[in-house]
Amino acid sequence: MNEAPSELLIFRVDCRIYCAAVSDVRRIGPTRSGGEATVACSPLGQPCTRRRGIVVDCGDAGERTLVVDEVLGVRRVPAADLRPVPAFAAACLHAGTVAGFAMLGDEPTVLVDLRALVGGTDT
Amino acid sequence: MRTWAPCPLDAARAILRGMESSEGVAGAPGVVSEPVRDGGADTCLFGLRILGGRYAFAASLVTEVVRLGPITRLPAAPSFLRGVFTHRGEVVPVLDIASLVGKAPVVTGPSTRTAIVRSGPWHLAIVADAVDGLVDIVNLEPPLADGGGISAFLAAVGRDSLGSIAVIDLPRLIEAARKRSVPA
Amino acid sequence: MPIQTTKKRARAAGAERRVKKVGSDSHGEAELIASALDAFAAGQPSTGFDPGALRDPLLRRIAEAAQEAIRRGQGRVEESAERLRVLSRGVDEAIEGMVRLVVQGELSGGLRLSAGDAALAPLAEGVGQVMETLKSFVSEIRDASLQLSSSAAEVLAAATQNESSTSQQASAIHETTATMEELKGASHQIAENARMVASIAEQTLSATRVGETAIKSFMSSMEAMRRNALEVDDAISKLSRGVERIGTVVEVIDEVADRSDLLAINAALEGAKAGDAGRGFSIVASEMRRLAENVTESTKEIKNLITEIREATHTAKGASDSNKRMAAEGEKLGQAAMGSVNGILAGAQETTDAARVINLATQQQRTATEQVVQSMSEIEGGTRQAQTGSRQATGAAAELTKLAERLADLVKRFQA
Repeated sequence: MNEAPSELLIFRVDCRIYCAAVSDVRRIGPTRSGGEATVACSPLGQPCTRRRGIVVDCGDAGERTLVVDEVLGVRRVPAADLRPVPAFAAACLHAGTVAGFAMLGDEPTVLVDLRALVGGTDT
Repeated sequence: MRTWAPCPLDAARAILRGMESSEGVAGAPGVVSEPVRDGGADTCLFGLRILGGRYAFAASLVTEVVRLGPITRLPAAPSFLRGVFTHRGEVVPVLDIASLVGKAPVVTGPSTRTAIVRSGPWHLAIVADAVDGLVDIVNLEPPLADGGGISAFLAAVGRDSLGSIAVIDLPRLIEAARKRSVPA
Repeated sequence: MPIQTTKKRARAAGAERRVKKVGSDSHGEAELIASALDAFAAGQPSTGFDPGALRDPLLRRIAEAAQEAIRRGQGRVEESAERLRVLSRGVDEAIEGMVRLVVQGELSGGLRLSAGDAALAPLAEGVGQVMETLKSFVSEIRDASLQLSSSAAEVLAAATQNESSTSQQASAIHETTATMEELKGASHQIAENARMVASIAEQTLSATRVGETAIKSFMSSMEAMRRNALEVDDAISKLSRGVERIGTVVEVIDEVADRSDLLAINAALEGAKAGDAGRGFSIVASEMRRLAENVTESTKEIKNLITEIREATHTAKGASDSNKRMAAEGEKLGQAAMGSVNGILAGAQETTDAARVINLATQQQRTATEQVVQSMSEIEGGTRQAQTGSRQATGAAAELTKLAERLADLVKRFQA
């Protein structure tokens, strides 16, 4: 986690809530089935309704769309509410998709590195 | 700090004192185990119940016993890493020994207890079916031949007032878990 | 030989003797003439009397005249005799024809006489008329005989049928009488049964009244049961609430015990870490754990008891609900039973009345049946007489038929 994002996009895949840095998101669009640029199945889980697509700029790889069930909104999160990945967890996770945690309530919400997620995941 | 024992039992005693195991945490960055105080620590083991049996490890590793709060699952995590939960504002990863040794995971609920341990650089929670707390073990003996599973991580076996109990080399187990996660 | 012929011959013999005695004188000659006349009168032919032999001319002329008269007379006699023969033959033929007619019944040919004497014409005509008349009679008799035969057969058939009908009628009357007797018996039986029905209805009436009282008590019991069930319900609700409250308290205790246990574990850990200095702390922590565990054990038992009480309360509630339902149903059933009992009471009363009416009606029926039996008996007598008459009629008709047949046979003999 290089910098603490203050603006987080909150979204849902299946029954789990995730958040991501707004800066990583180019736009929210409809889901287009098929196509190389669409990531339907990711480690976040299998979306059920597939109602939204989070379009991510992957640099040279171009735009990739992460299919999600619902985009709940954008929330400004203070830096104090952000937590790094614990050392043991970081040692066990190698995909780099978990950037940290945001304390949106009592429970920690996974802060997803969208570029790492859609850039490194096959459709 | 290393204390090599000339016999397995000595090694076990060393483990009981919270010494680093043979595989140690040499690779862990910038964290050094606290020195283990001598005197009466031979019997200071922390007991818990997993895999249908009673197990123990050095009580000095345990920082606290708490109720396991709601777990946040981690994407692309190995099965033994059940997720994270917050404790005193800190995000703590949860390790399931049963899953690690290929058995059915521990069933967790609102009253499930977990022992937060600090082993070398790692700060994590060990989830168990139940927590016995401090146990007094006598007649420590070397474990039986390595039969795979949990026995690969045993340092000794002994008895207390409730019956037999197996002593786990927890740092070795944690290290083994970490290593297992590293992609080939 | 006929008597007249004998007399004629005697007279002729006397005349001849007289001619032979007086031949010599006039007187004798006269005697001769007289004898010749006697003989003639007697019908005998002249036996050698010769008037030329007479000497007396007068007498001779007389004798000649007499002889001439005799000769003429004889011619006429012969003619008459001839005619008589013819007539006689005609009469014989006529008689024969009549006889043939009567004996052989031959009427077809008519009567033809061989002699054509006019004197026979009336006879022939008469016989012809008789025959015609007979023929016409025969024809009529034949027709009548045929009709008679046919009628007699019809009469016989009718009489036979009548006899048969009468027999059937008699049989039917007999059966009817028997049936009426049975009916009489049945009426009696019905009357008996009606009396029994009335008696049973009376018994039913009294039994139903007892039942009515029992149902009333049953209904008040049901009502009491329902009231009790409501009270039980209330008690169960209170108990339930109490148990739930205990449950909540126990949960709190459990929670406190669990936290205490957790605290004790951590205290023990801290004590252990403090080494000798923390030993007393560890002992206290251990004791605290034991207490917490004791509390947890106790709360577990309480929880088990609460579960049991909940189950028992649930069962009791179910039983109470069931009791309420059953009481309500019982009341409904009681009301229904009361309605039924009232119906039975009314029915029994009606049955008694109906039985009385039936009894009366059967008595009337019995009287009527007896009258019918009496009438039938009379009819039977009449029928028996009719049967006898019918049988006689049949016999008479049979006789008549036979007679008709005989008559027909007789009539057949006349071939008209």
